[in-house]
Amino acid sequence: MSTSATSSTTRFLESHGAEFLSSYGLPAHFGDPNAELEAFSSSVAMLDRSSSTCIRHIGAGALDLLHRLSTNDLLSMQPGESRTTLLTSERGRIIDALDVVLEASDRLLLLSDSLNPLAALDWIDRFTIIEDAEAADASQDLARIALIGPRSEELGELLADGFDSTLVSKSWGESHRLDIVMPRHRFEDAWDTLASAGACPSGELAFEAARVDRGIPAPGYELTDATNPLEAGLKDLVSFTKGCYIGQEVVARLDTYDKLQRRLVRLTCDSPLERGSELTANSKRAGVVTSVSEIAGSDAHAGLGFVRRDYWEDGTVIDSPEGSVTVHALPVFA
Amino acid sequence: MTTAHPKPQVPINSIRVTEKAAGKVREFATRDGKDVFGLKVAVKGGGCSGLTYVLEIVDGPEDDDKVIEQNGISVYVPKKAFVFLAGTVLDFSDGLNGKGFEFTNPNAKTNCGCGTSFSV
Repeated sequence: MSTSATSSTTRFLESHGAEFLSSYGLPAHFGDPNAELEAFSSSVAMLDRSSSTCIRHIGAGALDLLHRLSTNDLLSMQPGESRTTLLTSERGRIIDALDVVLEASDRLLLLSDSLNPLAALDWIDRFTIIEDAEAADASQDLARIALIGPRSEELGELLADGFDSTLVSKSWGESHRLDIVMPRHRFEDAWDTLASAGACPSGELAFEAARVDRGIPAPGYELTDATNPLEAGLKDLVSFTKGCYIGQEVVARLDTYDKLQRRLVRLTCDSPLERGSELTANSKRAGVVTSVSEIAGSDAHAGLGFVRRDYWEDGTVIDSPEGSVTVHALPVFA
Repeated sequence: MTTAHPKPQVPINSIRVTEKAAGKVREFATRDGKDVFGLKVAVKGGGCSGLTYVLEIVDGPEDDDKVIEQNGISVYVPKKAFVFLAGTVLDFSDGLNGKGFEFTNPNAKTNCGCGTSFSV
């Protein structure tokens, strides 16, 4: 992990109003979490993602290797293009979700929201045998800002020139997300430029609430070695025509025979939900809470979780230690 | 994935290419017009189970290849790949239901359904 690099952005963000809580290594908020949450929908939220996984994958064999190790078709990418893919184990379980940026045919940048770069690094290294490819943690040299919301593309343009930046664009639920990767020494200038243009500095409280509201799974919460891509609603990150990759046999079988036993859902409850709480129905295990929003909505507290097949229909009511929980099916499974 | 079956005994510091597999390699090399050749046997990341076999007819060994003579052909195994292949038997299965070149690898804990990839 990039301790010294992280602390350099920490001091800067503290001087810009960031509050750090013990449960987060990242800013919890910048003074008004509700206003920050609103920015995700109405304008643009700005988050420091410099502590998250950032890997350089270099070598003539790097792209081909990553294509063989992960779920999406990467060989059809063109230089300058980015694509999200999943590293999966032999059992089809998720190691990490990577945004792959093809900077050149022998030069990739790999980004994830995971705070543990070793998950992807160790996995890639384990299967690098005869290939001309080398993966290394780049978080000491590079910083990253995420812009989420309807104005993200517009503000991202401000950093397209003069910041030696790489822009990675993707959909984020029904919103839009733009990650801007830059040399670490340009971070402070970039942050101030975006804030001056109207980007709303936002912390993890708002990010988690927005993520839960949109039903977006995250590394370490829903995307773990207990989860396969289909139950997390990430079928669009899986190519069923590219041929073999690690875990392909299991994922293909789950899809072909409709063998999913559980699904990611959004949950609401009158009381605050607890991450890790067991969900039950008629005293039988029905699922588990994996993420919670710590910003209460107008009528309920929300979370994400996995529930078993018998309970994943929209509107199903099940039990939790915190009270009755209503299941909301995610659009991705419609 | 399927559990690996008991393996034939091969010296742990070698791999074995059966006479039938060696004959097929010679046949392919002749068809490609090669008089001098060797069989590169390696492993790369990928396949359903994590590691997948590589077979290639090449002109000669690379610097870090282990060279093994088997049934009249030279077999070249990169040292980094050899740890995954030590004790392996390479055979050839033909006929309508044959699988072509087949590996029996004592290091494999599991093999994928089609037999081209394995995990250790």
